[in-house]
Amino acid sequence: MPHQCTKCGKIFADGDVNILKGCECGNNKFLYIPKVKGREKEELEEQFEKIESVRIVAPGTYEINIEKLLERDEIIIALQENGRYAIHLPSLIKKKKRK
Amino acid sequence: MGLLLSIKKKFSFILRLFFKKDKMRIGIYGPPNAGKTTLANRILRDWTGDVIGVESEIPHETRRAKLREGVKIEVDGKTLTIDIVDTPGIATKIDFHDFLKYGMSEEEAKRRAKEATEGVIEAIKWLDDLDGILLVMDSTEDPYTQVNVTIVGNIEARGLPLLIVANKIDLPNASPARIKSAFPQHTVVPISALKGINIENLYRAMAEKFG
Repeated sequence: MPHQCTKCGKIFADGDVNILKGCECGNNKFLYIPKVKGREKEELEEQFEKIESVRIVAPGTYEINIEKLLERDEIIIALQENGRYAIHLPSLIKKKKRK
Repeated sequence: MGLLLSIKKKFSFILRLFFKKDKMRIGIYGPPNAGKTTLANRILRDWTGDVIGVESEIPHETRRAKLREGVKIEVDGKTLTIDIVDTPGIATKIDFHDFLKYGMSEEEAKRRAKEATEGVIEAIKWLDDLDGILLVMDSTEDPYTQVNVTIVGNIEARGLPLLIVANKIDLPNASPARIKSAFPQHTVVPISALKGINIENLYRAMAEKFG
């Protein structure tokens, strides 16, 4: 895994001897940079494809699609996994008013 | 619509540069249990003597956004007047099972989950009415989360002034440097809202960023 200087942000490859000497900026603290795991990336891509802002997985269990909530005014609620959706009308009407 | 929105955002950013409001509305955002209400209470206790909400170790204690208007902060002879909005924690998954371990009944836990979900929506809707953001992160946790990255990206797109607060530095495994390295393009202020450590630096940074 690559290392990043905590002061200036320069990235050093794994096993780089400069990590032992310290960074050019004088700092000698480095961080491991975690790689985005394949599954997490897939989950993230899936989130973008979904149209709903909130999914009710089961009573009391919710999945919230923050990206959709941030980019769209209207709220679409998905009911469990069987393709049923509810559209929150007040949020849609409010959007039209703003226009 | 997208183009109109982006023009509106750019225009409001330019307007903000030239005509700074005499009162800024600042939202306190972050994931659940980052210490948002503890920070809001700290700011209010320091400058007004009262509090805004209940602090709790149970996640999603704040489920409605709370507004406190006209908080005067004085730093280095300058006065900054702000409205503070303490928002519910933003999460991508809310499961009532997580609340059961705190001794809640199933019914109570389900109600909490429902209110917390509504709280996330309310928090996000508030973004349209704010002039600046304090984004609170827990220094003991990994900052590379979907919630943090998404919120930072959206605040950047809106052109809102942002300060990242690296909270809980009183805890032994805190690493504010990790937050700094995750978001090097933003000012990160390490503090402990609970103990008041480094809080003066936060006020100074707020006066600089929002004043």
